[in-house]
Amino acid sequence: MKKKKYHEALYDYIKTGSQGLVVKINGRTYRFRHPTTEDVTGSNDFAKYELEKSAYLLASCLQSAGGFNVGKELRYEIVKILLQTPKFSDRVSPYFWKSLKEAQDYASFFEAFCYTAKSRNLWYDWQQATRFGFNLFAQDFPLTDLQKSWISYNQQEDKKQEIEEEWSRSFFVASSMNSKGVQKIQKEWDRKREKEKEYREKLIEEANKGEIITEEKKDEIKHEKSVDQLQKEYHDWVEGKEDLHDKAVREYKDQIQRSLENRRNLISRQIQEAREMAEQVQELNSLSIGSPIRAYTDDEVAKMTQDRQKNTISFDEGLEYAEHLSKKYLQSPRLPGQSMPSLQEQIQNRPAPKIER
Amino acid sequence: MTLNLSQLKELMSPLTQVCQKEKVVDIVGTNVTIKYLTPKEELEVQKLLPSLDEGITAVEFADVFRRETLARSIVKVDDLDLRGISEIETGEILPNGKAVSISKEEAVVQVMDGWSKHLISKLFEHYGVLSEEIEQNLDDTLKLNVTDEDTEKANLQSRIDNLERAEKLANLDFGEHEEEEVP
Repeated sequence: MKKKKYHEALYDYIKTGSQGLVVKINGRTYRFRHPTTEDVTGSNDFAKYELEKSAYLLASCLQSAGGFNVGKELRYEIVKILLQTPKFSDRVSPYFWKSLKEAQDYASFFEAFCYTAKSRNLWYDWQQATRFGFNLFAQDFPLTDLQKSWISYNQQEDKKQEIEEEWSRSFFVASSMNSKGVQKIQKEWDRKREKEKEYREKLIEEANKGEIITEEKKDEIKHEKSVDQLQKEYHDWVEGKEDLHDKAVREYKDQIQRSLENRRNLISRQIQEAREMAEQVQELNSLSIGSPIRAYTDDEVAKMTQDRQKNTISFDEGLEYAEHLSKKYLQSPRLPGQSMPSLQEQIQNRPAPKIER
Repeated sequence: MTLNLSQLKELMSPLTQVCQKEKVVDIVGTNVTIKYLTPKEELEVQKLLPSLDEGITAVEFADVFRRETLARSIVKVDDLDLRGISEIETGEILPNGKAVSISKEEAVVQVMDGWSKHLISKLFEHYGVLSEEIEQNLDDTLKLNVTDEDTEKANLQSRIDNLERAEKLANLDFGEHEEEEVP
């Protein structure tokens, strides 16, 4: 079976609410989503034995049977059916957990996915759908942690874009008033933006290679450390003391915890960056507040220009200025034996002309 | 569209049918139909098993396990259909005129008390074969979007273990009943 690319998988997980295992029996398809922490807690609350826990989880996560959506209200009935069906839960549960494990592996690419155009396009679709009262996530269960993190990230990204636009406006105003002060901020701003762009591109590049991106890997990308400094994560567990369900649940919880932590870090970084950007825009604005833009009066203009030498270009009445220029530069005869001065030489030290009609 | 219970059951039927299989075993002229235990029934058996701390021997443990499993597995003996029956009348009548009833499982255990251990262990072997038949059914019909070699190996290993366990349980018995032939 062809392995999905990280961005395809994450796109599907976010859009479908983490659809995971798909089981086909004699032409009928049963689709299961990944469990939420509430499902896992519920399975432990429901029963002591693994068989019952597995049946509960499968029942909770059954999204559709034969193309029909299965509502929450039928969950208990499904548990009963599964507890009356030999072997099914036993046979399918390991794959259910495997599918979840795969999803968790893909979730390590969450940050890289957020930086892709695919993610942003899905975000615009989602916003559009929400604006018109549609539900892009056709799911009858609460938003998953992955979806929540994705929404938070994109909200912050939007905020950063707004600040960028505000920056451009402020830059325009401030640069005309205090160019030296603005230059310093501009350089700092550009440096940060360039660094962020490089970081994002590298992260996507790493994700495209299919390598799992750990926090250490991200640090390496940020700080440009050598590959040797990367440390792999190994998770050992005590064998033989737990059943499949307990093992899977523990691993699930650990992974969820790690993923949540990573996503929280990403979002808090986004918030921090947005805050810093806003501060810089404020600083930029304060530079122009000291000398705000205002129109000069005629007297002020006359005073400013009174001592300057006036260069007057005279041309025949009725002759257009364009024609005058054409005559002077294009149609004038070339003088032999004289080297033509370059345009740079011609305009060097030339005072600004004053045109009088 | 909101599904109701009967619609749900219909939609789930391909899944339940593949896993529910019965097997008719001829035991010295008696046709005994066995089914594979549901997870619910497996749990009942699990809860009834004596603790190893109770100083019980391997043979005694195997006896309880086979007896309780088969008590739930046997669904028909010749023409006596036990499907859907939870209680069976013993034929005795209480002084108040009420018929004495016992659970279906208890009734089957009482019937099995008259069978030799060898016969029971052979029937249990058929139960192991039935288990493997269902697994093969699932091999043929179950299609998943996830593949995992480790899980597949574990599943095959567990099936081998089941067959070996059934064989081991059979071998725990005495040799004196070898004259009884079970097809």
